[in-house]
Amino acid sequence: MKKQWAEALWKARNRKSALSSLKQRVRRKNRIREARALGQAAAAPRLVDDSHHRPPIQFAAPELLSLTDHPDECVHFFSELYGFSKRRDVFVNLSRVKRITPDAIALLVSLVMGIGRRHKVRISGNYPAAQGATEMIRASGFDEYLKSSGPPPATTRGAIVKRDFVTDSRRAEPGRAKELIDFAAKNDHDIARLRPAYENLLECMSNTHQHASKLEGTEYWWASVFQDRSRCCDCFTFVDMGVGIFESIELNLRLKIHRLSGLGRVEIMRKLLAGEIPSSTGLAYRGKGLPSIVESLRGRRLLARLVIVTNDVYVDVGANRFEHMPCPLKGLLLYWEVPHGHKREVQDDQP
Amino acid sequence: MDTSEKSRTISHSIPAEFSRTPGPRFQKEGKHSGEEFRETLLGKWFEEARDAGAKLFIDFDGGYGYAPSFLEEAFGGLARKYGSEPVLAILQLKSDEAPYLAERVRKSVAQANA
Repeated sequence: MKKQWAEALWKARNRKSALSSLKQRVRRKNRIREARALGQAAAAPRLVDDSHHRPPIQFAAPELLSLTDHPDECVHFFSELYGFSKRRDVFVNLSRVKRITPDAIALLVSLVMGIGRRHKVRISGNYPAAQGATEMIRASGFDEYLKSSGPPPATTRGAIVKRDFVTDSRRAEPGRAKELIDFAAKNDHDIARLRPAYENLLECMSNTHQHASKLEGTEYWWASVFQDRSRCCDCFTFVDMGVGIFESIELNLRLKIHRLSGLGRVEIMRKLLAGEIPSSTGLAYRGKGLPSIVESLRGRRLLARLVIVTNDVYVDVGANRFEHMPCPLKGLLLYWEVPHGHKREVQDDQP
Repeated sequence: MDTSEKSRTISHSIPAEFSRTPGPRFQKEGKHSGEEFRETLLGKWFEEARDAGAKLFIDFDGGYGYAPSFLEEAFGGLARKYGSEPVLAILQLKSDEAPYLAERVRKSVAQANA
């Protein structure tokens, strides 16, 4: 039997059909490419039918979004956001926010990115109606991590870095700490002023690596710096979404012993910061991380402010404000300010 | 390294010879750790100075900072190996940019074997 499709007529038909198909595919690709270039993602053909998509769950932020200044007002918002565990899209409504501080911005980024990573859901939000708060967010480096529909900010006064211990080398990064210090330093000589900030960052990274999760080196951390020109200081925030100081496994055993003596978490925190709770390793020279950070504020006065929030305990070290929060926040947040002016350094032996 | 016969001092700089950005305590935690510094440089510097009957002069200036755990692991670790008294007798520390560092190192060495 003669193969009809090998004849010239069939070959010509086949060629014509292939050419038409190719043209169609090229046209479709070009349409998508042009739509993306114009930022009109909606014009691109959708692969998934969104008509039955459920509306996102809304999280409304309070007017004063600052964990360091107004912990009681905003801890519920952060705690609910962190506890979100549904496979539903999220909308973070910041419209009511009148005042936001750098610590809240860093915490918000870490929470939002964490939700997106854990649940593979879409997260959207809006900017505050208050112009000052919006400017603060946009100048903080927030937009580097979350896409914004608005024009890029005119000035940048903040930087946020993240280390993903899960997918990378699971190691603390002096290079990342250097990035933040270089951002905050006005020149090479100014790096010396920021030494305590570098030292605190490294100490925090080490602590996260060792204690923030059940398996060593599996927890994310975020760190940020914001140049606050109005108050003449650089604001550093370190956040990890791990188990927090009071749920840390090895510490927990020692805390149970302290609890037996009738001490609450606030009192235990006092002892911990004073270096009065020994390390779980049983080695006297270990467990000095947090006390050394406190010492850089109290003893040497290199920092203007130091705030620690972990689980349900809030501490403003300089103000000697130790409080039990109405709602727990998982993980650990450390916030400190390095003044722009050089302060006289105080030696260890001086009060 | 700078060796002065007259004063019998061997000088080294951490930022120049190790890193301007020292890291955490242990090598498993990150780059430029205190453990790495002690094992690769500080131990050798100490033995060299001790064998030569010289002082070991260490310059901290020029770095971004030194986490307390880095210093403890490097210098405290040295004291745990060689003893606190010999280490304190040989070490001379210079940190004009952050004078508290010298005190912190001495404290780490003194309490290393506590």
